[in-house]
Amino acid sequence: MKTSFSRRPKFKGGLAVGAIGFFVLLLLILRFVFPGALAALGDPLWRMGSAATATLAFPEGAAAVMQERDTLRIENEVLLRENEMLAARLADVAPFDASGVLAGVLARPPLAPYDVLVVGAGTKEGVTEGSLVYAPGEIPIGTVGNISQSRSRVALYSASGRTTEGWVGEERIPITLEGQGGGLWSATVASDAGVVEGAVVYLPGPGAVPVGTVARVKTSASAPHATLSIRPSVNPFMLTWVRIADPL
Amino acid sequence: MIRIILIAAAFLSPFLFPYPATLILALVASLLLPPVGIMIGLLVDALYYTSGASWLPVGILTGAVLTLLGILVRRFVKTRIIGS
Repeated sequence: MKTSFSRRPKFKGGLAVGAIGFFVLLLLILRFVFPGALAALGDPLWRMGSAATATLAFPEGAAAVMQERDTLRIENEVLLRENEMLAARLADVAPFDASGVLAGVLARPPLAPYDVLVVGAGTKEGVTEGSLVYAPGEIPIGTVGNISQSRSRVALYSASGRTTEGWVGEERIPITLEGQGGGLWSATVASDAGVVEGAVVYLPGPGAVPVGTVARVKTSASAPHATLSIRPSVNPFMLTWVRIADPL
Repeated sequence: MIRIILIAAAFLSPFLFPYPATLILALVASLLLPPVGIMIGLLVDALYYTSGASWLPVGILTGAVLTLLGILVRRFVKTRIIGS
């Protein structure tokens, strides 16, 4: 019989702590001992999510978009060849290098919260940590962080707080691009440097590679420097494939 | 039933939905069952965290905050019920 002197129920939090402990252990094992297993688990779900997004975003149907994609790929190939020819003629630009691994993008922002891409190529395909990652159009977008056998995580240059050296404008003024997340950058230059909205921003690649444009120049009469908001020419939210190449 | 569906949706969210949606689902799920918040944070970091992109495991930290929030809210609600 239950009386007012009944013992208090046992501490129920023990079960929750045990469950969290088990979950942590499981994830640690998966992440560090079998890194491919977690990605393999996520693969069908990521694909399902991409398909659902494609259906919602492109009401004309995935088939039409795929056809357009194929046409654009062919056009892109032609442009790449043209670019290769032009690059070879320019003395100050290194020849275009088409080597590397093509990888499909499995997860991208805003699904991935760190300005990270999960791509479908890993050590099996010859990807190494620190490899450079290029978006279509040979635009450098980041470097490979962690790798498993068949998947890699790519840390984008625009990841919040990440700094990258580059140039801005026709005069190639050196700047330090600071990632703001969501594919955006900011940078500071001297107010009298003459950087205007629409100026092209470059990153090192095969020569100086245009990666974005200055969207806004914020100046203050009392400050000796101006803050640039930089919009990338590649939208990481829309990336479907990338090229991974060894560091230069 | 709704409880189970919400918690399941919160666990699937890092694979399917943008991270703001994951955050909202994790918050709701944490209010229902506090440890879910930190578990989802762990899952997010296991899936996406890479040292080059951030030096802080934001997923785990956010999950821990959500779990604490869940515990506090549940305690507050319990106190209010007992108090009344």
